[in-house]
Amino acid sequence: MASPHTSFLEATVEATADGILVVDRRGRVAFANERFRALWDLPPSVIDADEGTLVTTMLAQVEDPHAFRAELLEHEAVPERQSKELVRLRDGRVLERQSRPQRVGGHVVGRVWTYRDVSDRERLLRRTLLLSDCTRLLASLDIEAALRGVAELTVRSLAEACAIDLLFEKRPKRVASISRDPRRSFTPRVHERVLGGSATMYEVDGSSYISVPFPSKDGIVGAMTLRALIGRRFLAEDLDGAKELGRRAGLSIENATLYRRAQEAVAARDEFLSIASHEIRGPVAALHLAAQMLRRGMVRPESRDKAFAIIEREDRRLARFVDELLDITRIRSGALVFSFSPVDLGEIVRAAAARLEPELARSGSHLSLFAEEPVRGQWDAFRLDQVVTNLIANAIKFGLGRPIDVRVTNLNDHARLIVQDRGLGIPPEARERIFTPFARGVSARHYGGLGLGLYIVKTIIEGLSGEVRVESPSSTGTRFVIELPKTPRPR
Amino acid sequence: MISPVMLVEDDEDIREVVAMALTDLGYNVVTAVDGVDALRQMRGGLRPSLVLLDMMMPRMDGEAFVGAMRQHPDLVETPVLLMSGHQKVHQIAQALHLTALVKPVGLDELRNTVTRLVGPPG
Repeated sequence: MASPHTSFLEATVEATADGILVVDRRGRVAFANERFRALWDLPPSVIDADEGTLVTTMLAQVEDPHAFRAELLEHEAVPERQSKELVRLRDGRVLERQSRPQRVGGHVVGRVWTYRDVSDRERLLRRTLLLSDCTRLLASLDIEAALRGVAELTVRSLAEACAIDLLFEKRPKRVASISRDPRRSFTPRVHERVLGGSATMYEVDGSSYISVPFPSKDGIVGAMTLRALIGRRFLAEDLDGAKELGRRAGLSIENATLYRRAQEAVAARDEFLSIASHEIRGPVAALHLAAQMLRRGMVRPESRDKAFAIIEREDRRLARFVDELLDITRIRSGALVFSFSPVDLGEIVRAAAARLEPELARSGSHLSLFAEEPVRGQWDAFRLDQVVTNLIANAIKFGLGRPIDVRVTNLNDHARLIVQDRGLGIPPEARERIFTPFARGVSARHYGGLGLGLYIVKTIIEGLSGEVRVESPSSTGTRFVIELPKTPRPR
Repeated sequence: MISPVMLVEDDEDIREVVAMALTDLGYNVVTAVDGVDALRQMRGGLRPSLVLLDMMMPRMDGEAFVGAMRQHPDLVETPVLLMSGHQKVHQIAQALHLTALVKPVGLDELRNTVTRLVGPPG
């Protein structure tokens, strides 16, 4: 029968959560508790066998057998040595190993090894570190570079491979794909469920996968797909970690997008100011010189009319710019109001064409007007005149001096206005853009103007419940078509 | 006959009024509506003493025109005076080693600059 002292010791070593192994100085196993066998999944026979068999069984389970063996040899060579380190197993578990010499009467007679399973703690630590490292990367506004960094960290920390996509209207654009083994490329498709906004864990050909969305206010803006280390399965907590990473990536993409939009808005404003100042300086230059010359009596009598005509024309040009800028302010503040009265569209077109006669003559373009009998509707005469004037002025400006046709057609419940030139034309990719403010179909280096005319046209026509579209019927020329209901629909 | 001052400007009003001013100051002035027109006249043998040049023109802008003009051995040294409302006209002029005036230009400024570049009207 065991003494109380011995039974107390036995009960203690069996009750502890640590695996305990005691070896003598010759390397023979003196003692091993049940927990030790369980941690290393050892049959009793291995414990009873020589140390070589035990070590071989353990080496087969550790991630780095070379380092494991080197450490054992070091402990053997220095009997006084005490140590504490982590041992990573191939199945993903992490054990904390402590070792100290066993002494009897001041002499080292053997060594005690203890092993404790710290997998949960290590996983948590690793996930926290990964998350904090990724968050630091994601603070960058260069979002693609940041996501490449995230993929690298993720592969280093918990996955065999990682692919990251940005989503543009549900179409993925891969920005990173990294594999631990560079010979194994990683080209997974973004999982359907992720496109729908849910994170998912799945298996393909025996490999474990996780795929998570990057959510943002604008919907799903990206996705990350991970493949587990060979022979391992992802756990629910890995999915949680990946989801959190996805949330942070989504937030970061959102920030970067907001920043980019703000930058674009500032750039558009700067370009507009630069163009506007250029456009205003032109007429002012002509006015300034003409006025100075008249005042100094430098203009010969036969040129006086010419000088005054220049002053009048440039004055009108400046007034038009000011009107356009005021209109933009009105449109932006929602203060563009219409006053409806019976209007004949044909008459408006005739009046506008007559007013633009000097510009037409100077450009060399001839304008042919085809207008049916009165085409009347409830419209705003002033605003409609603005539309017609803008379209004809554009045709003159980009018409290369070739003929311009303007056609007014009376249809049942609506009128149609067509303004067609045979000039530069508008490339298909610019046809949407020309109706947005500050945009232009041609380079500002070559053609002046504020880039507001067609935006104002579209806003007015829509205010009159109509629609405007642009067609380039052949390789040369542009045709603007306006459909205008005779009675505007209440908005 | 002293060689003329050439004015390249697509805006008709500015072209007219600047030509009027230079003529009145006593210079012989020829005009071109843009870079393409100016090059055509130069190919026809025109050798101006000075080119007054707008920057922003259809078909061929000022920068492209200067490049094309400098290809001709007779026109490598011809002084060019940029006149533009563009905010960056001085930067552009510096890059092309040219003189620049920012629109709107006063009469005195115009006369002084032209006189400095080609001398008083003969």
